[in-house]
Amino acid sequence: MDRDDEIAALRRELERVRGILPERVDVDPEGLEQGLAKLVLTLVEFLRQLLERQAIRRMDGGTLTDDEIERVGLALMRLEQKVEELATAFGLDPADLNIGLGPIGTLL
Amino acid sequence: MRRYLAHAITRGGSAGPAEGLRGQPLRHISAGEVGLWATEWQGDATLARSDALAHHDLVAAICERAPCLPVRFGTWLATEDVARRSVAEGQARFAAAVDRLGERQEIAVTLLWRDASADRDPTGGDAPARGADPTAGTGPGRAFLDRKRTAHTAIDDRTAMAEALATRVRAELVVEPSDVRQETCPSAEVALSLSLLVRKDGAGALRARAAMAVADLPGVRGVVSGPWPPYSFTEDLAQAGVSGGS
Amino acid sequence: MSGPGLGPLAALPDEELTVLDLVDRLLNRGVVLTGEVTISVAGVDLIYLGLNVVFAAVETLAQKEARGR
Repeated sequence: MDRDDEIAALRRELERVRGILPERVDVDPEGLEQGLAKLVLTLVEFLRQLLERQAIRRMDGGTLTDDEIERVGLALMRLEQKVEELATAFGLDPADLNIGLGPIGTLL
Repeated sequence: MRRYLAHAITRGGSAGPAEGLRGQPLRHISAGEVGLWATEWQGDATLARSDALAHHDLVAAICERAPCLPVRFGTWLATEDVARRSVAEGQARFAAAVDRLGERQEIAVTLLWRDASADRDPTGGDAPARGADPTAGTGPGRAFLDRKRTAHTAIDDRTAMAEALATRVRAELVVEPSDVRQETCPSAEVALSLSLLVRKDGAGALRARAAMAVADLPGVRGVVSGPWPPYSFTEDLAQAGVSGGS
Repeated sequence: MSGPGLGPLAALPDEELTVLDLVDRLLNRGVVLTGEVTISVAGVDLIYLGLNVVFAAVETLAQKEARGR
């Protein structure tokens, strides 16, 4: 896949995951901490999903070694788990962050 | 301290409804070419869902009497002076928007997946990916990416289906692109959310046509709502000079 | 009607779906006014200038209500 295709694919994916960003942040003083945590974690999850898609595309395109695939996969898996832990620690439902968006994700 | 909960912006100061939310006074605060309708709040300011719906009824009533722009629910303005300045700051573009949107309403079309679990992976999140050969020593990192590929593919397939449905519905309803706001797959269960801008006198007819257009779509259930004040068509008014996106 | 965790939406009657659609618009659409907004945090008044800030306590309430179905 040449550079232009990469950029076009990235743009499409940005459009696709853009919808998971919150419309606004809860600034109710009672829930300020939680509101900010939700924003931060949603942003992290947004980037993580983008990285995930990129990694899969590179893996399928044959431009990653087996070792790289394993390392990237583990890193993204651990990051997903960490985000879920942090969400729970702030009293957030991980589902609110669209973690694992999609049919499989909703079974986790 | 008194606070004002904003409802709608109109041109000039036509007569409005008798009272605001929870029986509190409804004030009209004018600022040059436009004016703001707001409830003068006196009690506990914790808002509930019932207040949101009452706000909608009030906005609809104001829009019934005069061309108006709905203000986002939950917009508090500390004093009358702050309210006046907020609206005055944008009066030119608000006036233009009232002229453009004031005689229009929106029809909402929502398509829900009939079976949100139709393409779920029965092996769940922790099982090896379908087709993975256990003897090949697939590491957990690769297995994770394999699972996610299946998930992303399912999402992409759904997105493509939703986009095809959107194209079909829009073509059938013959709507101008500038009169539509569209969200494809805004959540796991909603395939498509459309807002259609229509002249007040054409709203009933468009609603009926929309109901027919979504009656027999494959794999989704359609719900048509409205006509409502044009909530979804005000996004370009937040800041002066910022062009609107959909 | 965006956001996950709302339960089996497709099973709800039309009227309830309509209300969810409406509440979604009320909370997330409409003109956003800028201006001074005073927020008190832990009893301390903080004034933000030129910020598009909307009190969103009711959004949480709406989601909780919907999830309760």
